[in-house]
Amino acid sequence: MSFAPAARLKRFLRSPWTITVELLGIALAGFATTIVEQHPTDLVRQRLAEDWPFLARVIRVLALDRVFTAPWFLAIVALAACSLAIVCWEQWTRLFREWKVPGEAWFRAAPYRQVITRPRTGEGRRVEIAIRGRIGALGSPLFHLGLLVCAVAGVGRMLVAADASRELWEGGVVAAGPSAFETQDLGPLARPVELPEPVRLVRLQPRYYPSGGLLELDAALRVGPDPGRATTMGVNDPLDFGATRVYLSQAFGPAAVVSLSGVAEPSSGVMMLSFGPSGDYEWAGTVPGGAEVRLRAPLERAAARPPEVVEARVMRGDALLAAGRLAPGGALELPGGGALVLRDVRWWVRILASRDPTAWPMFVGFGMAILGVVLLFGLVRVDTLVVAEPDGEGEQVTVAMRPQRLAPVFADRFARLVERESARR
Amino acid sequence: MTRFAVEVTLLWVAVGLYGIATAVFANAVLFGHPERARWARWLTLAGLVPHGAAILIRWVAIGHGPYLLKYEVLASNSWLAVAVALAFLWRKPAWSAAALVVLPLSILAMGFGLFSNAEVKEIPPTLRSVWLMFHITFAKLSAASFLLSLAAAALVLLRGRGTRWAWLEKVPPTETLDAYEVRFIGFGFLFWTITIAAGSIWAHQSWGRYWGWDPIETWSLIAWLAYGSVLHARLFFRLKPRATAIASVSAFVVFILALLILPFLMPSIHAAYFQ
Ligand code: HEM
Repeated sequence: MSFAPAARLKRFLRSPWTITVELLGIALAGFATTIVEQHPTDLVRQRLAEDWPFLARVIRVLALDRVFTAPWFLAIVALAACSLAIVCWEQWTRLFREWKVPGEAWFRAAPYRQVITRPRTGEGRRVEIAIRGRIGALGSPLFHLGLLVCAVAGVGRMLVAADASRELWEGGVVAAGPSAFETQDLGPLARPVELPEPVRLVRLQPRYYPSGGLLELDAALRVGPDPGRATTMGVNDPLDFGATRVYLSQAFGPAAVVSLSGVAEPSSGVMMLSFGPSGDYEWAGTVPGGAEVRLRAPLERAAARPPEVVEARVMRGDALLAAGRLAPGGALELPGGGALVLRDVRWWVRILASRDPTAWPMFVGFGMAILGVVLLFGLVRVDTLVVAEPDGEGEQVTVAMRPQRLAPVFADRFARLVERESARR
Repeated sequence: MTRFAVEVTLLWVAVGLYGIATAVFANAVLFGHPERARWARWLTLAGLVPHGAAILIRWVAIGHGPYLLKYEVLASNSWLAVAVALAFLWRKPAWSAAALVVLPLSILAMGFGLFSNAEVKEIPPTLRSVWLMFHITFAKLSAASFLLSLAAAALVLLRGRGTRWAWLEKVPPTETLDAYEVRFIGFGFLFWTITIAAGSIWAHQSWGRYWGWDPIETWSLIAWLAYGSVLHARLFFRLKPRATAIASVSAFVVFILALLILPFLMPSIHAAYFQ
């Protein structure tokens, strides 16, 4: 069996040009995502094709609007991971080979060498070899191994991680099971996010700066079957269910619990008002039966509780059916019978949930990479050689120094070494 | 005098002192009076005092560090850059020419900051994390290190092919400039790696994902890869000092785009904090 193709592949993956192209390719892919909208709607695509046909073609052919699933990007990542694996193997085996104290021959390539004379300090030929900062040689292998761990974790995240989100209002429950989240962003091998136990939002507690800016946002929760155990979560303080975690975002607003009768079949629902162009909280939507409902509530500064009054308008086409200001329990009579009833106003908040088994491997990779760079640039291995040989009354001393890298930085250290050896008696 | 007026006055005093220090450094380096570099260092130190005081006064008054507004970011980044450069110049007086790059660029940054919006902004809940401290501190340290590498690269390029300025003879040899340039890139690279890692851990804690390809995250990765590519290219292709210097100046441009320009321009989940 011939290994020639394997050796050729290895040479290719290890070639400086391949590695350079891999790194620049990943950087360019990232750049593309910051200037080309990713996963645009069909309308945006169509507009681009009409206005800039050539550009649209380039984007389509190179899949620049879905870079992270584009074959060329996946190929670069795979190549980079293979190159990295080969380089790690090489670096670690070389590290073990070169760990030992070197012989005199090692210093033939030393960038610093000076011969001095001094009074005799001993008999015969004496050789002293010292290594400082040997652990610095671990830097690059550890860094690249850390990168490899990060790369594997990153690819793992693309495949197996699941992210989900939804809005939740006070009194609302995220049920156990996968259907509790409206939006699930799943890797091809991921299972949907599901909570092992139901979570009920009891109360959302915003706290403010004196100026009215949001200081903190916390949520009082009940977890488990009714009545559940009391617990809390907050922004930057997720709720932990082992591999699955639930996060509180800082997007929140008033939710109007409304029922509508007399338009078509009676209905009820929770309408989540969000900060709108008018500077107030707003909601607009069509309800069963085709009527359009618009709600508006004032944005009060530093409000611990949601606004108590909501302005409501019910329209059909351009015709205004009814309008008025409602407090909880209030009803807006609609022409022809029926009413829009505001049952309650509560806070809603956006929550995120994720199951990502790759987070810890990724953080371990970060740790290794950081330690690697600390060793790489903070502790350069420097080998020194001092050979003293009797020479008449005195002795001739050869002083040599071989830093592993950045030799000119060590000029002062070499000068001090020479000075010390000259002064030795 | 209001607190803001005190702050701005102190910053302008610092700008003035750095300006004078630059002139004295220029005199020391260009006209061969190395002993005057000592005065210039003292003047720079004198500038750091009102500069630091302005940052501290604001910090104490508004209750958070200098990282939200362009005004705060530029004032604090330039303070740290000048402080790190000064510490280096005190140890290595032969490098005084580097001050002619670091000080004018720091003055420029302060100038931009002074003319931008300084209205106090409070930190939103997502920013209230211990990881923020690591993220911000190391970003500032990396800017200071990369700026010193830029100064070394600029001196390598100035010496260039056939330039015969007498003062350049007194600057450390090209090989030494090159080695220190790479060393500063190394330190900056380390700090930037920690910046990205801390940001990523924090994003995991706040948003449930450690990496989301948000434009600002992506640009921080691009800048990191740019410097990584410079280090690789130098090693793989045995780049000469001049080529390394050109590559490192290009990486610096990418880094400044990522650190100081794009966060204020790009639509991003981070951008809301950097208006
Ligand atoms: C495709 C993945 C990569 C491969 C195959 C690779 C390969 C290598 C190799 C062979 C070396 C020389 C090591 C030695 O002589 O012992 C090296 C050094 C280095 N690499 Fe990488 N590398 C990769 C990714 C990266 C990345 C992403 C970065 C950071 C952005 C990086 C930063 C460095 C640094 C800082 C050095 C040390 C440079 C110096 O000693 O001055 N590498 N790399």
